[in-house]
Amino acid sequence: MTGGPLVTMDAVSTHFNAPSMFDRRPPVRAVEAVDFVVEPGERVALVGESGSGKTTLVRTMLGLTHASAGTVHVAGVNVHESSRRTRRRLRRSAQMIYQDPHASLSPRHRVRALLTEPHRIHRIPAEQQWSVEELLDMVELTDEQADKFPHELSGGQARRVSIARALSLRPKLLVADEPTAGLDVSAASAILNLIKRLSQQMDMAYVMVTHNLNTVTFAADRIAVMYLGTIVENGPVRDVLERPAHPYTQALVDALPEPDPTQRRDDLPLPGEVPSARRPPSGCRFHPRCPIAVDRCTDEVPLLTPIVSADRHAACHLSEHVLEEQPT
Amino acid sequence: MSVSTAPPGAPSRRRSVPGAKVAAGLRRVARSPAGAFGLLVVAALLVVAILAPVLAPHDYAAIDVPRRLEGPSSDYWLGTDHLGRDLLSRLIGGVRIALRIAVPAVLLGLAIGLVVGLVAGYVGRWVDTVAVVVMDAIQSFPAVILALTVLALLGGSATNIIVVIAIAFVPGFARVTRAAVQSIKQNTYIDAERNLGAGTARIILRHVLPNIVAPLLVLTAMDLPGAIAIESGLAFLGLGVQPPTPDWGVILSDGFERISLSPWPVLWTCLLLAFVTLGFTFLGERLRDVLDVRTDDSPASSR
Amino acid sequence: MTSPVLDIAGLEATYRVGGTERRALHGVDLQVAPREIVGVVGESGCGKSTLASAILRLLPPGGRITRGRITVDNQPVLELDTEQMRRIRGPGAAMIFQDPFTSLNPAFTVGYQLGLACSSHASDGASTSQLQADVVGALHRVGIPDPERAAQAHPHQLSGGQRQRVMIAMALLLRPRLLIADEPTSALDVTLEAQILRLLRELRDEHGTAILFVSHDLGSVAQLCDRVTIMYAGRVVESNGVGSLYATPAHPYTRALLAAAPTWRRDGDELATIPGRPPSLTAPPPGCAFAPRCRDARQVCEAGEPSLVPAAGGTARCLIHDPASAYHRSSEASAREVPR
Repeated sequence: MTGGPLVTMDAVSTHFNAPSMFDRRPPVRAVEAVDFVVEPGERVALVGESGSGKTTLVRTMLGLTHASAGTVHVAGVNVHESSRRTRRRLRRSAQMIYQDPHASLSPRHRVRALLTEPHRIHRIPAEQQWSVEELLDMVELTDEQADKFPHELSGGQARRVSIARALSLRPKLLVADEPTAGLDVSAASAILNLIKRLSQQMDMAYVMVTHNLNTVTFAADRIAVMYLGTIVENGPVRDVLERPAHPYTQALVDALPEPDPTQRRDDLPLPGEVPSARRPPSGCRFHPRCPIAVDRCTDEVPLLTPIVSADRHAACHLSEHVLEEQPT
Repeated sequence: MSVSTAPPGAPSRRRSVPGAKVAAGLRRVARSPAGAFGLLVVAALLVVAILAPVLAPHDYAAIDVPRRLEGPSSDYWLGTDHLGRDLLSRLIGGVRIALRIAVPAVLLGLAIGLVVGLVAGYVGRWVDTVAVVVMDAIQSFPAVILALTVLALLGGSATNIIVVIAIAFVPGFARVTRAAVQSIKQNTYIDAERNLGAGTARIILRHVLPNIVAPLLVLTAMDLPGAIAIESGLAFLGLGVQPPTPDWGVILSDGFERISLSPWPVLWTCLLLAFVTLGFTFLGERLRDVLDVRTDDSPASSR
Repeated sequence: MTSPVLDIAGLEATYRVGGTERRALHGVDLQVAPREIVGVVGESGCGKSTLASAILRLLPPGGRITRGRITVDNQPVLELDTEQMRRIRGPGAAMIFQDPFTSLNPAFTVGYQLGLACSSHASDGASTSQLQADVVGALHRVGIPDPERAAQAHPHQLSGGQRQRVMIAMALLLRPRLLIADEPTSALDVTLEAQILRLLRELRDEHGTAILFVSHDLGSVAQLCDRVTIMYAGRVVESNGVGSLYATPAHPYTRALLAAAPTWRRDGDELATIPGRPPSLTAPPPGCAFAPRCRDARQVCEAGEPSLVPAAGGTARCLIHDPASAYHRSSEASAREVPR
């Protein structure tokens, strides 16, 4: 694989049909016509609230969930149209750590076995393997954790074990699904420090799925904001947060509670709730809750178009308006 | 703290000795009164089965008609049956017969049920539907009726009896396996393993099977007395062994016919069956607790 | 001076799990004045949830209050019998939890449960239609769309955010003098959280309900609370008005917490963390509970537990702010190395 993006998702949609023929509801349109690109070594934050489809998007990216439409290329491989064997080799390039670390570790195996399993699965020759002690050291765990069962580990420790497992294959891409969920602030910061440092040392790109906007400027270079299955804005992280070009991004930033009692908001950034993905609103999916929606928003789906600079995009008919209205 | 990019690893050492794990497990089982009782029963059965000829005070076939249908005495500790044979020796002899049929039958049922349940649970769809229908059909027959039907057609050899009892237990094992596989399949860690690149075989062998060992082991322990009972039942009805083989079911049926003359054959046999059933059941329940890695009742646990 | 709605003095509580006993609360003092919103902040294991549950005597099995006094609305809660306690839970003090699903009975409709709550405390014989109107009104006030239909729904048919709002609606109907909110927004998205925080503020502004807001999120506490109490290892380590606490944190733990909370506006190569882990509750170390992780700790800090002293306009449990303590005489750093 030469130069060029590590991940290219082109007009990808993922729909979930009803599980049985007795369920006549329309399918859940979890991801709808998404374009997404990740360059080698890049750090991307994928943010959105519950129901935004971000977990489905990354699972589709890795081929864990089947794409209903569009194509996904990871490290040169067409993920959804490859043979089983090719997809298996793909696992060495792209790995994922799960939101619930305890749930993702097989409960009857000790940490030692869990850490060496990826090597055994892919039959990596011994000279290229990291030892259990080295892997534990990489994620700042002591050797004595090696003989524990997953349920004997704390949340933070279990998470570090899953990171070590994913890293043992030396992937070029790591997908981290809410890596700080359930952790206290200090433990969460430690995990984010770890992931960033490992990404720098191993020249590894990552896509971090998170709903904690406060961590993204540290953790990522680029941000993509999702709402109800579509990407509504993306661009360099600080630019997007300081000057959002989409009303949803603006609302997210405004809704963040500042740890500063002298800065209290009285207004409500965003009323209501995320609608169902089975019957998404017509046109722009955000229009029912959008403070500046006009008629065009109900009829016409806005496309992701460049705004402000070549590396920023927003899917809004009124993004110029959003930019103008910002307080300086 | 640095991370080398060209790792020469020292191979991980220290594999735990499998025997030690089993020993530790047995000790945990014994820690509860129910478990200890169960272990005792199983141990006693094994000992008696192995040492039957040595332990029995009399030859189980030795007839002593003048002393028929007596109660316990110094010569015949548990009394005698309708031909004056020592009940104790016959019951001891019966252990071997019971185990010789029951154990292979249950193990065979386990093996078949396990495979059926694994395939049905993991593959799903039409395979699962077919399997469930077949299992339901088998289960809808009472085991003894099923056995009688088959044996009437094929004859009552020991092999046939083993197979037929095995078939009666297959649905139970298949259901437990299938349910466990379906539930395990949904776990995140199975998805995580697939994400790492693990193939179906590896997932089933290393991540599904270890998690179903526990309920299957428990079910095996609890089915054994059932198998013994079925076998006794068949013998009671005249199928299976030939006299003078001391099958418990035969002892029971002979004793039942003459119960007004002497209650002892029926009494001792039923007590024995009750003990064996209780013992295996307790053992099974205790095994279930011990085998869940999350149940930690060891005295030195501190965290 | 009016008496506080909530007055906790010297509260101690333990949990017995298996054979071990964990001391969850060590001599906690806390007051909430009428119409005041007090935040209780700490990381997991600090005892804040135990504190919240203890007030209405709702500790989980294995938990026990071993010492102390709790007064709610001038009633000595620990001395009441079951019937008196039942009358307090509701109009005296109500509680909402992090997971509203488990607080609502899945078998009954939302409207029925809300009606039950307010009818059991209705002083006058309110008619059914009046109750229904009240219920629908409350649902409307908390922002639930189509409140008549929502009242007919069962809990599982509502979303997490809606369920949490139903809990607040219940509080609105009960008009408690004190609302104990145990991490009510931790499981919610940030836009929903903003709505819930706003509702809580309205509850105080319009109904005069005092609120005890338990959280680990410094952001929402800053937005909502008048006063803040910081807890660590079962003790109160600092207490102050919200402005002073955030501007001039006195206790090293508070300072570390504030430094460790990431905000997107801040730049940096590494996020600040607090080294080490909270102390074991079964075998706590002698001396100050935070000393093993404190960069300013000295040997004297390990000798005995500091008491609460005035600091920066509030109180803090730290020798640094005690001019009489030996801390200021010796300059020996703590012998223990601050762990990674």
